[in-house]
Amino acid sequence: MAKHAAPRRRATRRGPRRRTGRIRAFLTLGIVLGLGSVSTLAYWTDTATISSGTIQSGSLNLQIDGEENVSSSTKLQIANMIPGESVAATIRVDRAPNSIPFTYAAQAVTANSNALATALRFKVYVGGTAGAVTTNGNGVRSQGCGGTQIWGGADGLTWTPQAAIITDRASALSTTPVQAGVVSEYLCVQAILPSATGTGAQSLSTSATLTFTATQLS
Amino acid sequence: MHRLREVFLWLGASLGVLCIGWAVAIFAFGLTPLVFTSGSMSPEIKAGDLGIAKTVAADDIRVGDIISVVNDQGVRITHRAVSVEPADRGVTLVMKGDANKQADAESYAVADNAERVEFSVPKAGYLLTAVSSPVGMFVGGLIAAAALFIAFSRRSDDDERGSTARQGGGARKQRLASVGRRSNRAAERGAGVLASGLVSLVLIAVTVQPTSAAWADTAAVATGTLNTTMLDPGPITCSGGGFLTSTIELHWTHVDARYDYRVVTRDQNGAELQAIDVPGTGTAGTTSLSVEVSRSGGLGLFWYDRTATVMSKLKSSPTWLSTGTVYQYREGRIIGGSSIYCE
Repeated sequence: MAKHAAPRRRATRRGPRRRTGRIRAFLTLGIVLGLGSVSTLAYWTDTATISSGTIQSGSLNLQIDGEENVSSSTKLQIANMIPGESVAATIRVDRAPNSIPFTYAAQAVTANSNALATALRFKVYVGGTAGAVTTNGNGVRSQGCGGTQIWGGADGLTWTPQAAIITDRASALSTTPVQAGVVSEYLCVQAILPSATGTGAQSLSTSATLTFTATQLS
Repeated sequence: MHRLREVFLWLGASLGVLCIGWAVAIFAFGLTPLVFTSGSMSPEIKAGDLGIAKTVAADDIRVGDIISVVNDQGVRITHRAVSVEPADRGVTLVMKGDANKQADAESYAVADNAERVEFSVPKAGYLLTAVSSPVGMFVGGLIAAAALFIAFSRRSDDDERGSTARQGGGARKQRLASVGRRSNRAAERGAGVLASGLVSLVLIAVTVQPTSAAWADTAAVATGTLNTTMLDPGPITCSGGGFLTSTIELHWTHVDARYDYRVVTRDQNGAELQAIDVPGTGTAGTTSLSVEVSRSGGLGLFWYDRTATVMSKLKSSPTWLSTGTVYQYREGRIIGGSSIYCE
């Protein structure tokens, strides 16, 4: 009897456990059901690509002249500049393809704070490009900007220390819906060395850096 | 191993119940889960957070509520209402992201009802995004399949146990040993499935993480160099001079239309003798300019080195001078007769 008692005991102990095992296994199927309902019920908010459901980063993309970082040796470059001269450069602000709309801001700062950097005056224009260089009878060079001036006033302002040249700029980049192509706005920057600049600014060099920041609208 | 198997089944079952519970709760209470994919509502709700929204009537929307609407472009926007104006039907909302400096450019018409965010769960959006991705679904399916496999593959073990029971004691021991090995193998398979599932989940978490923060983007422009170096006149040549002469003539090419020139002569001690301004006329680069330098006079019996520095000078701003190009010449003197020589 002892021989037979053992399997019976085991059966009575094992039976319900096997059932709970199967019940638990079936309950596990709830994962699939639950996950399915999640993806159909959840909304991915604040993104242009709702269906993908990814927490997005790359779809807000501001570029300058089609690049993230432009290091141009020719942009706003002038040699042997003398008081009374000016130079201008065109900067194209791009909203990369498929980027969501944004407003942007820009900061500008000169690379150093020498007498030339502090003497230089800058103006910023939107919607225009740099004009041709003209020279007067004495050979003094001038280069202006098209478009509408948005920063710098009548005489221009310094970029030493850093200046907020554009704030919360709303443009086609913020109003055009997401699209496969690039959306652009032209900026023009003019650097002027005032004619009253003293000799301290002579024989010096400087450059400037403009940093653009796009901020998502929504 | 048996314990591991039990843990796996219990874990799978609780996950399943949790998921079912979630789905039921969402349906029953009319809730809307929202995954915030940008940080425009930070710091209260960051990118990757999960918001739970409840449907409210347009009339119940108050300023300060976080409301989720779909804009004209079909994009769901969840921002804080800063103005609620009654419209012909429903209300018109002006909304602003907490982290945005300005309100959204467009206003939103809410005709009947909208979703109002009741609370949010930090980071849960990542989990939700991960588990509802194709990989997440696959892993979930895999766990469920593994659980079913483990639960039902026991039947054969039990059958074997049954037959073992009908056999003699010695054989039974052997059988039990083989059953042990068999269930070990099943448990190992389960452990393998569980491990691979966990690895997949970790992989998902890792791949989702970097997409979190960027809701602002920057680009930079470094300009070229602006410099104010003044050009010096090129090589200086000399003509005239000689025994008992009183002048030499220095020549150089006009370098820039913007420049006039100033010539300064100095004695052997660096003291200035003469300063002569020369207008920059003619074509820059081709026209040759010249200046007459006369001997300084005085008494003595010696040869003296003299210098003439030709500097560019701005026409428009006379205070700016270039460093200049230096030319060395000589004056010689015998009692009663003086001479000036080119070098």
